[in-house]
Amino acid sequence: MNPFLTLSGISHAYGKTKVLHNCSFSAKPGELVALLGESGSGKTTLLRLIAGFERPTKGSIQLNGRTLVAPGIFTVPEKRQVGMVFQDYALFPHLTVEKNIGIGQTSSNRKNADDWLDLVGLNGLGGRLPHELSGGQQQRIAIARSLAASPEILLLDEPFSNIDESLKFGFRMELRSLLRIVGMNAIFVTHDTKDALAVADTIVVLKDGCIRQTGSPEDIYLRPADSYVATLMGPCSTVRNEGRKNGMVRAEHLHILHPSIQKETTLNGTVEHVLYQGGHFLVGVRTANGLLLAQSNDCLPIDAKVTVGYNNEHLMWLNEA
Amino acid sequence: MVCAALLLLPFLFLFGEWSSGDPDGWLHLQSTVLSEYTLNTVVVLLGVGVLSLLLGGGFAILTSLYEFPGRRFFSIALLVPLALPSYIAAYAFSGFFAYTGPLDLLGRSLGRSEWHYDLMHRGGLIVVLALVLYPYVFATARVALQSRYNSYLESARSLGLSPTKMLFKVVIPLLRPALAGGVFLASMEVLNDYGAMKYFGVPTYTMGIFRAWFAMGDLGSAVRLALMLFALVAVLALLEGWYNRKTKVTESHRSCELQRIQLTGRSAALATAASAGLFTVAFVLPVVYLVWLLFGAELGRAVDEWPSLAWNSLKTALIATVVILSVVMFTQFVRLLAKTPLAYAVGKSISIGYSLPGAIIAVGVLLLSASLDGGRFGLVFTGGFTMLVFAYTIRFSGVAYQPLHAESEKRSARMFEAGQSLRLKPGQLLRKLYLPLSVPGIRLAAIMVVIDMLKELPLTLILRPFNFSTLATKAFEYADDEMLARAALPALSVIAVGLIPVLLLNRILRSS
Repeated sequence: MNPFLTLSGISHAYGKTKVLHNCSFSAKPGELVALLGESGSGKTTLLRLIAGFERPTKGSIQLNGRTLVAPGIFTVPEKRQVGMVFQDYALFPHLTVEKNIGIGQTSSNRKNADDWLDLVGLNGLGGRLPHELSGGQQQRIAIARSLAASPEILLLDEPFSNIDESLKFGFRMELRSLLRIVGMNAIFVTHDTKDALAVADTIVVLKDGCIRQTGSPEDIYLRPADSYVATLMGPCSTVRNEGRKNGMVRAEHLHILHPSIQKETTLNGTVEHVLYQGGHFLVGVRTANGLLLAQSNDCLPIDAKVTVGYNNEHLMWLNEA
Repeated sequence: MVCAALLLLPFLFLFGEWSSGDPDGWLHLQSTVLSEYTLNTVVVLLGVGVLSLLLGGGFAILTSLYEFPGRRFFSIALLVPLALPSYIAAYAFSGFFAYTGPLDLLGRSLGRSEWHYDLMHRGGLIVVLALVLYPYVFATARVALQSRYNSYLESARSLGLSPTKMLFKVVIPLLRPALAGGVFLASMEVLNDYGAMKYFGVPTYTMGIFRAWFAMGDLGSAVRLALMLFALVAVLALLEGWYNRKTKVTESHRSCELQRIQLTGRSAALATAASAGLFTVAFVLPVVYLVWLLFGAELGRAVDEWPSLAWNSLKTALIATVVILSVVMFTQFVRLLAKTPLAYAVGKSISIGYSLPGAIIAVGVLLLSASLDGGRFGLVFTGGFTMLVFAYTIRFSGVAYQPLHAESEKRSARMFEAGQSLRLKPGQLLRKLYLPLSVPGIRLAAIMVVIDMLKELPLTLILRPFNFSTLATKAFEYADDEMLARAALPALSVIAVGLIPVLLLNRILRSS
């Protein structure tokens, strides 16, 4: 299958500050891609480059067979057919919900605003002004507005950041099924590992303007490319070190051992930290290999002498010292 | 791009004319009055700076950190003297202290002829200017204290600092950039002032420009003086920028309103009395005196000419406002659309004029119109209404720039991108987004610009068409001819108009 969106060798700088270095990735048709990284990693800049709000210093972008950006070529945002949902939604404050949704529609793609409101589950709110809606409702209107302009791809900037933690779970499912229903390609930016793992088909991990790894959520989680990606995705610790190769194990695969349980590799140590995670404990064990993070179902006393162990199949080999 | 170039053109002429003109006049000026101009300019700048720093900073701290009877009233009232243009304050105060003024009359009727104080000297000018310009420092310091440094102050108190220690170790160091900003604004006003200095007979650069132009017809010397004034403005601006960077404070997050320290007993009475005293001296006294003058004599004739003066003022202001708003909005729209550094620079450069004294702009515009008229068209521009509007546009675009720019920065940038990603064309962006979204900014900008122009004196004096008078110029002319009573009505009109932005400012201060 040909890629739907391709970024090749994208670099960008704000004045003298370089924010992206030679970034390349592609997305297949219908794919939902997450750009994951800490603040300042360049993920939002990458999104804005695809939308056309910034012009990269180097590199090219292709969308559905059209070249949007290449040396000597730059398609302006309004000609790209790229929809953008902003972090603060950017609903036009002087227009009603209905008019907001209708503003990007042309006669050829006109569909009733009510249909869009139906789709995002907000029928009956067409006459309201944006400030009369809750944050979650505003976001759904912003998504509906972008979809109504019939883009070829939808970009979402931190779609989960303004959603209450308790509502996030439901919201992730909603967003995913909504995009499935309309069959829309989408890219979203997030700093939250859980959002990326739960929602995306493909995750692109950015660090300091460079792409560290691109892959499926399982790939990124279980076969991280380097120790940065490994620790970003969840607690883990280095248990072996052979030259320039690090062997790391995720906390949930490193167990505090009962005498009855056998593991292929075991280490002795002392409990230094115990953090309750809701359902289980994260235990910091000081061993000859340094501080290791292990998972335990029982609370352990500080300074307790314990043995931790893991099976070798769970060892993740990373190409760096 | 063309807009900005046009607005900056007069300055090019200004620099171009540095070496031309009559060298004799300049040599004469150099050997006689130049050193006096320089000395006066520097002394008045320093004096007004220090005095407005003490008044503005002191009362800002008092009304922000302490609670005393009347505090809420005075935190607004102490801004109000800003409504008095310096030239009107100058003649109101000097009239008050003159031989025929109320103080002397009262003194003589009580047999106290020693109740006379001669205000008409450099020191008097400094005090009068500081009394109407301290609100700049007061306003900037209050904004800083109210919102920006709130959590620093709260943490200082929770650390158990004594009030004195808190004042000197935390409040004043934190306030330094705000105070410097306020003093800078006041200094710009000092350099822009012509009327007060003329009235007090303290010759400075600005006054020198007028003298060279009006009295001696020596444009070359006027240009050189304007350039020296320009250099002084540049030095002050650089100083302010440098000081601001040096003392840069990370702004704290806005938290809830600051708990003020309750003053009681003698200190509370003292605080109230001091605030009331300043308000009375800086605002009530001159205004009451003007009203007294107004009803003293010649009310009929003053009322007769008022409508035509007011109409002239308003007409000029409205026409220029339309031009200014179009120019500023156009450049802002292009900047939002193009987002290139050039468009940004153009958008910003149109606000330069506001930091330049009116006399400099006037000389630049004169040079430009003279060279345009030098061709085969005859006297089309010089002394014409067009050039006056043009000069206003240069000087006051900066006033409109602030509210319109703030509007476009805050939301419109994001809104524009949303509009673009929804495939709106530039025309649609302008019609459907930019104009409707800018309405509050346009409203505020229009009010501020109109009012500033109604108060404006030096530019209007130099560039107005022959026999064309506004409220401001008439007030100045009558006062300058010692017809104080007839100056009262136009002066009070200008003050009334000037009150509007002060009250607006207060609303903005409270909402920010």
